[in-house]
Amino acid sequence: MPRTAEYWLWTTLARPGVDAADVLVLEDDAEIVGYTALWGEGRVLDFVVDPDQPPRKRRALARQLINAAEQRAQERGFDMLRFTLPISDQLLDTALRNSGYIIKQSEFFILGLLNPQALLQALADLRAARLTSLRIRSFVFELSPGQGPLLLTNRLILNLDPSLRVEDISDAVEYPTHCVIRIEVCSLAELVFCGRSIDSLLRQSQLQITPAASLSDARTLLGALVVDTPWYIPASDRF
Amino acid sequence: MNGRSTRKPGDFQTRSYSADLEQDIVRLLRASFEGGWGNEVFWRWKHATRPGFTPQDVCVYTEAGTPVACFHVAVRPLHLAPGLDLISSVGGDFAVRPDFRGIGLPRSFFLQSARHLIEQSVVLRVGFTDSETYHRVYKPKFGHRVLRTVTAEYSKILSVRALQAKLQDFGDRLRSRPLLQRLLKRGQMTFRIAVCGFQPCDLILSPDSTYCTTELSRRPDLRLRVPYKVLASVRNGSSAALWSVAGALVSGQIRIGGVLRIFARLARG
Repeated sequence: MPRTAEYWLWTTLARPGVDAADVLVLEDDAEIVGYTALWGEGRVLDFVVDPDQPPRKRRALARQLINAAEQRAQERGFDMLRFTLPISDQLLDTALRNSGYIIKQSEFFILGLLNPQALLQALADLRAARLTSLRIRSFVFELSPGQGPLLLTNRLILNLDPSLRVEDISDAVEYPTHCVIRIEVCSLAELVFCGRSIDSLLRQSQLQITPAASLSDARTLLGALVVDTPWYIPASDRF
Repeated sequence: MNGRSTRKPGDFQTRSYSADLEQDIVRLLRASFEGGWGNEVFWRWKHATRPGFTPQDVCVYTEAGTPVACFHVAVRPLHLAPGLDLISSVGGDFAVRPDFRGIGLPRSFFLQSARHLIEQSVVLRVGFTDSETYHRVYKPKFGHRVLRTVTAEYSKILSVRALQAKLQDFGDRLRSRPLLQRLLKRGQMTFRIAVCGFQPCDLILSPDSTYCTTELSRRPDLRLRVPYKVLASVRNGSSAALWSVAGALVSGQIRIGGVLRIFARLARG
């Protein structure tokens, strides 16, 4: 979630069970270098240590903030303290492990594609630079719902010229067939967000590309659509 | 009356949020969530006072004016990658009265809300769930997929009460082991567990029960003293755990007493 003051006030300070004293701020030379907020039963809503600090100092600040959070949790009579943090932040991960924290990843964050047209448009716009070298300039996506309960569009065209545009051509009788990509919406979600490879989808016939001569360009296009940034959801953003 | 046998989703009326529904919604949520749900103050904070909330974010199915199911969403931009923010519908707090389950109300809500969400430029539906619900419901019925996240939960016990609860669970698991069952044939056993930083506890195992207490007996069968950090590293199962245990043994941070007595008991048994 993009953080605005209004959003922070709602998700943290206005949250029932949060006291102003549960919000801890770490200052260095009158500058905020760390922040954490505790909630009922010892859940830590946010834990941030300035990523621009040198590693040694950041480690020390993290330890200081962890200790302060534990002290506050004990004052509140919480039995446990639970941080939700990105495991990829090695410095915080090490600081917490060294402080005796047990780690687990058991929660599932799930996703379903509601509007494939808007998704393809957003991704193509973002990765436009990677598409300039493509020989084929229009790609048709033939979508099927798979396990999804509905599909609002079953055929989309991605035109690279004259401007990059994804359009719904579900009702079109004739359309370009330079490259037709047939894929279930669920498989498209797997490809874009879940690290599923193009080869694996092709092998299991969950993705078909015709004609065969367009395979190379289709691979480049689909590869450009992949979002491989690791996801992290802070506890304060849980719904 | 059992709604399941006779009803179809189309037989119900749907309503968006209005203040008079709050009590019934919270009652539905409390009846549906095993771990409990909050109160009306919490509901009002979470939904009605959320920045950007609209009454259409709450959908209540009613029968003869009585709410039987409720579904909540929050439309929010999600930051997915540098330069990629997509409007998403975060779903949660779905509750269906037990006697109205199995007739497709969640599916009906998914279909009914789709147009309204697309009009708000929603691209993705997202939500939090557990493995069991994902495999039973979200994957096969709604075509959802699990995202690769780097989100992890780090937890630490702070009170002796929580430690006792964990030890009790551990004792229950231990008791089911054949070796322990053999030992317990000769009567109950007491394990004194002193975790550094916490009051020591006695874990009392008998053939059919486990009990953990801070009221210490005079002669425990086994004494174990261990730093909390070592226990945590063992639970984390990291490669460092072995070194952590070995180091703690060598430095005397881990101490075990009464092992010979256990062997003798085994030999007698």
